[in-house]
Amino acid sequence: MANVQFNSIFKRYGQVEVLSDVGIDIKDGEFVVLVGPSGCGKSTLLRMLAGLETVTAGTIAIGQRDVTHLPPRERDVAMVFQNYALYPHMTVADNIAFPLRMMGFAKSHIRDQVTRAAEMLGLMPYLARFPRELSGGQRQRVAMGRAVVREPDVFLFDEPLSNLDASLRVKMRGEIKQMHQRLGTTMIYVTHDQVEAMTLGDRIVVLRSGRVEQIGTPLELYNKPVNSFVAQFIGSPAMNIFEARPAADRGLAIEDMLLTDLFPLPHPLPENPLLVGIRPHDIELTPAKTSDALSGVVVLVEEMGNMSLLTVQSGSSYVQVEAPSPSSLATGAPVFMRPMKEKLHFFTE
Amino acid sequence: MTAPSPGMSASPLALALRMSGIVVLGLMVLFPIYWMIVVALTPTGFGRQITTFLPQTITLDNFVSLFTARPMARWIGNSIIVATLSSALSLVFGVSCGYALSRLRFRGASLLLIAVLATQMMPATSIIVPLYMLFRSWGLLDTMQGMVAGHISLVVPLAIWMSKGFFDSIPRDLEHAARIDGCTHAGAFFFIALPLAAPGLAAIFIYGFVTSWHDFLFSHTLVTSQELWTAANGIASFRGEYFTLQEMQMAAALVFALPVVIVFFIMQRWIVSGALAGAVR
Repeated sequence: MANVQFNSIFKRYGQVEVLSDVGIDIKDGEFVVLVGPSGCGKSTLLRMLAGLETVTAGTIAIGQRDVTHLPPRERDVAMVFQNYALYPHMTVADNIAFPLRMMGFAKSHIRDQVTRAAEMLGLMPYLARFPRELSGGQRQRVAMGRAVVREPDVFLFDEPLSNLDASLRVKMRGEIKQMHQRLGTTMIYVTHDQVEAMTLGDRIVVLRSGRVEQIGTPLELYNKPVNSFVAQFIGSPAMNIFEARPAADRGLAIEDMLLTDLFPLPHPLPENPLLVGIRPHDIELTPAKTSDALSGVVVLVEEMGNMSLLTVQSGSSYVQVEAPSPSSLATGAPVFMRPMKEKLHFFTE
Repeated sequence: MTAPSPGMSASPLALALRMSGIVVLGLMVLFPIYWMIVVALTPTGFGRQITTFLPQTITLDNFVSLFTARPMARWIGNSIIVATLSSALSLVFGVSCGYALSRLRFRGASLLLIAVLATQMMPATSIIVPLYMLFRSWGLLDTMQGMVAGHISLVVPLAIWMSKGFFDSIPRDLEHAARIDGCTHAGAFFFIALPLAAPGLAAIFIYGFVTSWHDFLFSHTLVTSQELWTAANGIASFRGEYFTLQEMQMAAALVFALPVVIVFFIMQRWIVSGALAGAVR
């Protein structure tokens, strides 16, 4: 087990900068999720930690040991790849045993360790099979077994569940979480799925265009996003973001809505349009138009079972609102929406 | 719903036409071999007098003469040595170059690949003269080493292309995983990439072996001593200026074909599809 430090990491491919001044401090035994849209640099960062990518500038330390220029085998990390990367010419047992063989352990020790990992992951009946004879979930388990068996300082996961179907993804997500609780080893997990990030991570690092946008616990990111990007990325359905104009009485105007007595507002108000965010479940539907309500027309009704998700067009904005299920509103119905003032988020970017 | 197989929906007439097409094609391919066997089993000097499709007198004298009156065993031995060495060395060169071109990013890699392919496009007859001059100045004429080197020059370009293609098809993440699991670059190559490329390597070896085995131009030009002749040279020697020993030539051709068939059957089990199934996804 070990802590991990990324110190001012830069990565360039020619003129293209894919990571810029990334600094992350991960505590021993912590489960940290790197999340962000495609191309944000999260996988590159993970591969740099594994030693599969070189670092243009900055340093990486594992357990106070500078590993920036060490080859992968000297970093004591284990990695589960997005595409499993199982050795197709080896059986399940040989796949799991491979890292131990490379480390030069005795055959009896390797056999014991493989059995232990296989029992933990429910792979005992499949030890003699080849990867091509396994289902997607079983292959994923073998990849995890290969990582677990060597008891590394740090586990790395590069979107390990993205090739599984939805139900299996939820099941494997639980197993990874349980594995972390059982082993207590530092784990770094890359995903573009914010639900995975929220459910798995002790802390989440949100990346965009090679820069860290915010680091925090899932609830910190959900409740106190630092900008509109994080606000929209974390939480499902995504937060509604509006451009607001300053108005009288410490207020803001959004479309045909006027919100007054708003505190705290950024002071002084920015010259750029102020962005106001509100989550879909923090908006009330009202029967009549009031000054602090937005008017709009329902353009889409999505029944989710536990609630209905309405998409409403209000002026040039589209707003998502949660309503009780089944919805009494149909497409084309006029609605009035009042955001809860205390649930508003204010952003300058 | 699955589509019916072509055989199920075909009318009896179409089926008959298709079957007769296959039979005609089969005959076209197999009849020359059959005729080779018929002539080889005919007593020497009677090959031109065969009037039926079946041999009237069967004899193995031609085969016996090959190994008693002629040094067929030596010729075959020379061919085996040259073909094995040149295909094995071509495999080593081809695999190392192909792997580097597949995995390393460097300026001019594409140009290098095209240049390699361009050498393959030259007809062998156009490179034999400069090769002859080079080998003469290096003292490689009329030597086994010279013949092996000449055959390597024939095989290596395609061996590089083929091995690059095979390594390209192996996901890089497999080697990345191996390096994280404790391998060096070389270890990842030997433990992971090489075993997975085995079917491809077998194909390259067979290609090199067959190319070298069948070559007549290089062995005829680069070697003059009879004790260094390959089997291809030996078979050609049955054809004189005024007379050709057809029966012995056909017997020699049958013996000549045998090692290639054996090599193919031995290596065939390595050429299997789906070796990478289950590696990724």
